[in-house]
Amino acid sequence: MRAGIEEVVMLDSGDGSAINIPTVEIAPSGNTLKQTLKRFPVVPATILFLVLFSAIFAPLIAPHDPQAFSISKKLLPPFWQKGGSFEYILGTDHMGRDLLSRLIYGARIAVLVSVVVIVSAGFLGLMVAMLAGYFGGWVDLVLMRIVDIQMSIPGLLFAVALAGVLKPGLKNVVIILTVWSWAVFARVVRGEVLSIKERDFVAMAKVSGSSSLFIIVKHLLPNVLNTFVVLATLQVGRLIIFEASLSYLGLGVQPPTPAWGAMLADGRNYIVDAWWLATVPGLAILGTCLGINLFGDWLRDALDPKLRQV
Amino acid sequence: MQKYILGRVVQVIICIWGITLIVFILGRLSGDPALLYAPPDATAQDIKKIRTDLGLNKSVITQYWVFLSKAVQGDLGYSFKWRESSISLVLSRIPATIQLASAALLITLIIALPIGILSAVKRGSILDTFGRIFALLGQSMPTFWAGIMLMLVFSVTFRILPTSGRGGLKHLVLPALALGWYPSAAIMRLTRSGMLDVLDSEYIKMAKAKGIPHTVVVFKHALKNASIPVVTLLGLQVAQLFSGAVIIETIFGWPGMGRLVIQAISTGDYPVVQAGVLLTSITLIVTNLLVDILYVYLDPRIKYDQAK
Repeated sequence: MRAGIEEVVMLDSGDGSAINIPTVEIAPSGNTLKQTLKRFPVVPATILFLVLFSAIFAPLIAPHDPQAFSISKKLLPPFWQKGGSFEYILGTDHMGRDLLSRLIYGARIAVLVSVVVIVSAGFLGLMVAMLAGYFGGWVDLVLMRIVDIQMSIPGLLFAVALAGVLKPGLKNVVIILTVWSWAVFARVVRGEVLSIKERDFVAMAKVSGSSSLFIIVKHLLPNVLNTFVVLATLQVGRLIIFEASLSYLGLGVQPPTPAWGAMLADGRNYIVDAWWLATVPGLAILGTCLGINLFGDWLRDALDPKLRQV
Repeated sequence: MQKYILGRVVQVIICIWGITLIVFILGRLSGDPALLYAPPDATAQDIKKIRTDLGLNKSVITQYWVFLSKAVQGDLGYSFKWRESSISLVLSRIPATIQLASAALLITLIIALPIGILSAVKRGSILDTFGRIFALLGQSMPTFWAGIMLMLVFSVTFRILPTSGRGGLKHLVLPALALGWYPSAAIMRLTRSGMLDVLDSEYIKMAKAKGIPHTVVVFKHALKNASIPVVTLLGLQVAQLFSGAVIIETIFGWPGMGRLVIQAISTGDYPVVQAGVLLTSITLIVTNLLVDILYVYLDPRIKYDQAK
């Protein structure tokens, strides 16, 4: 149906101006801007705002130094339980460090890692998708086989093996997650490129002598951007969980820097004595992922409803 | 049809070859194997001899060729720590992992299919809302945290199930539930959306209009068609299960392959890591190949497309 409509538009507008028409995406059927804004996910957006705010202003809002330890204050429960106090609202861990402060600082790692990885993996994935989708032939064949290989190795196992080689640390966590996540972008965006490059405005651009680079940057890129943004948002939740898994296994950001996954690992060891250590960081991960996933769902419905199966 | 399967088999072989290359590179990046094999009091001459024995003085391409031809014969070197063939070490742990993964898969099917079908049939009901919350939570909750929470409730608070180890059915329940958590949510979501699509179609309305009983329409007409994407996803979830097993086994002290690999990483026992990655990847690829072939039988349209 959509192709039909575009053809009519092209006929009406005549010459070169038609090239630009399809790049203005047709609004998803039945969704006016007003309706979309009405369904803006207030609660998820608030959660995300809180996480971002904590990450940026951690030193200003954290009540304690996240690394200051005191053995005499170890394993204090949250304030509502017997033995707890408002000084340590969420209690302390096995080294007497304030759990709330560590949680707030932990948001830094989660945000930093997911932002950097989304940018780097997204860039890599987009490049591969453009090359494979636009040029087709053996370029496509080789690149997509690499994507296949990448995707057929169990993610965490591969990441763990790589982490063992690279030695743990922030920089290497970013490298590992980038290597792990670029393939999804490449595969989904390539599918999109394949259908866009068959459309008339690309053919016309080719006929009018545009270079491949020009067509990729000017015609293909703007048209896959919606898909890309939605996909990236929906990937953030997976990245946060993955980062937490690595740091749970002791292969992520190294102590004493607080990371949510490593805090959970401590919690597992003290599960009998201190339920809050294993519960609270998990709730932080769950809340952040719920927030970003619900926000991503909304963004997908608003920008790119056909991605629903991803 | 045969051409399609043959094409997929060729693809699978290329894939496996690519993985051997990655595994080889990973092994070489991990440090000088000669130093790892050498006893602590080895002299420079001993190390040189080990290097010659391992073929490390030859070019990288020759080394890869040796690695590959040995790998084909099922030899990926000896574990530094256990002094045992790394392949047989990994193979000895695989039954435990497969037991855990199949239990998780079973739980997935038992939970996800009924909830998925019912929430599509009774759309908008309380059950549907429950199902959707479940799916959302599953998607956003780290598997390993689900495991820790289950442990907190059933082992620490109620003391009805053990926290770790492998033994009877009791030991299996918690890790399998935790491992099945994420796939259940994904399968449930897909079953629901697949059923909704199918239930909305013309032939279902036709079947209903003809007076065929509701349950027959749902289970015979609708479910059969809605099951096609679910089968594909189920194949892909096997990867998820193996990935998840790495961390779930560590949490619950389950003596499977995942835990072995994590232990091997921390001791720098790289041949075991290589064997683990290679064997699981091959298992996965072959599983997905089987799913693809099954898919052809389930959906005659694919066969038709290939015949053209």
